Amino acid sequence: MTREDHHHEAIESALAELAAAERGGVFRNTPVDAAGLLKQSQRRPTGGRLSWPRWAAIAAVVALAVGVWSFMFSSQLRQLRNARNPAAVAQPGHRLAEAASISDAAFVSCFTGPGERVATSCVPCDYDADADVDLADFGRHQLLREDAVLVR
Amino acid sequence: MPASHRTDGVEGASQVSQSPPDEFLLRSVAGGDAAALRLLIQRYDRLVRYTIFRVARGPCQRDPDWLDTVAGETWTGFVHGLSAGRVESIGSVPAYLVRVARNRAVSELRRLARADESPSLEWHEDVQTASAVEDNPAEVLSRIEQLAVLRSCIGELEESDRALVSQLGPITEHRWSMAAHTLEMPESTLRSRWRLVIERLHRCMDRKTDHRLAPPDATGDR
Repeated sequence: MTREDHHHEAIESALAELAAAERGGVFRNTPVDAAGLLKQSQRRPTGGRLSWPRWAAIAAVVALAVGVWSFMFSSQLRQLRNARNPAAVAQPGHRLAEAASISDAAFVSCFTGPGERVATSCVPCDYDADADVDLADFGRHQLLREDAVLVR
Repeated sequence: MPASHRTDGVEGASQVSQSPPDEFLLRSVAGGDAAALRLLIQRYDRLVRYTIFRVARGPCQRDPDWLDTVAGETWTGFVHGLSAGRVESIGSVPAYLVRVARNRAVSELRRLARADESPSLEWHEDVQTASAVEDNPAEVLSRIEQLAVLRSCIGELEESDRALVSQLGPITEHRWSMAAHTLEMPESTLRSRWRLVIERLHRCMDRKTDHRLAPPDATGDR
């Protein structure tokens, strides 16, 4: 093949490529709304610098996580303390103030023993809410009374 | 000549020295300058479109609107990338655009192939061809510039010569008699005139470019 033939072939092949490109729309212009595209991309959350609403959202999530963690941590601490101090596990109504208001004599008068039904007026002495006033309740009563004295 | 100072083909040759460099345009676009974006699109849209065409010429020829869509997505991705502060990491703009355009075209082809409930062999071939096409930005840029120059040279031909070029299909497939019949001229006349047309185009291209037209490679340029 001569050099001339080579050039002819190159031009013919380029012409074929050009014709295909014309048919495929290569030489048309892409319809792009430059201003609209820029506006849209500036509203879009970016991967690099964070905008202030994103910072605020992240701060809120972190604060919520810290709140949940501290709540769970404090309730775990409370459970740990209660495990060491059975008196504190008494029914919700039996707080220090209530225990202080039940005298030893009143407690003894309510004492029924294990499994015996407690009178309505003696329900405050049933610290473990098992429907009787027994030695388990007495132990808790004593611990709460001691705490109440210390608080005073 | 560096790409940053070059405009498409010969049409923009007069603007060569006045065009702002790519880096300046990138920073302006990142700062929200729509005029800079228009200039970048004007400078590189043909490169983007030709890259997509090389990767997915089947779908482009079946539906030229498909090319518009993928090219539009390429520009959208490019602008979003700039807004996300990637100006420094872009490097060469044409190389970056070729990469983005190629990836868009390939993923769009794969998406279409997946969405097709009865995937035809055609789609399968399109995806395979797309994956095989290499994205050498310098080569793509040089090739599209050659085509743009050739296009402009065809525009400079006489009307009768342009009619010959329109019969390119039958001529290159050596169906001379068919082309001669369509053009209403003897086959021998057509052959000699075709040779003259090719020589004119060749001279025109030599005049307008520094280098001679290279034959196409084997990566789907035919």
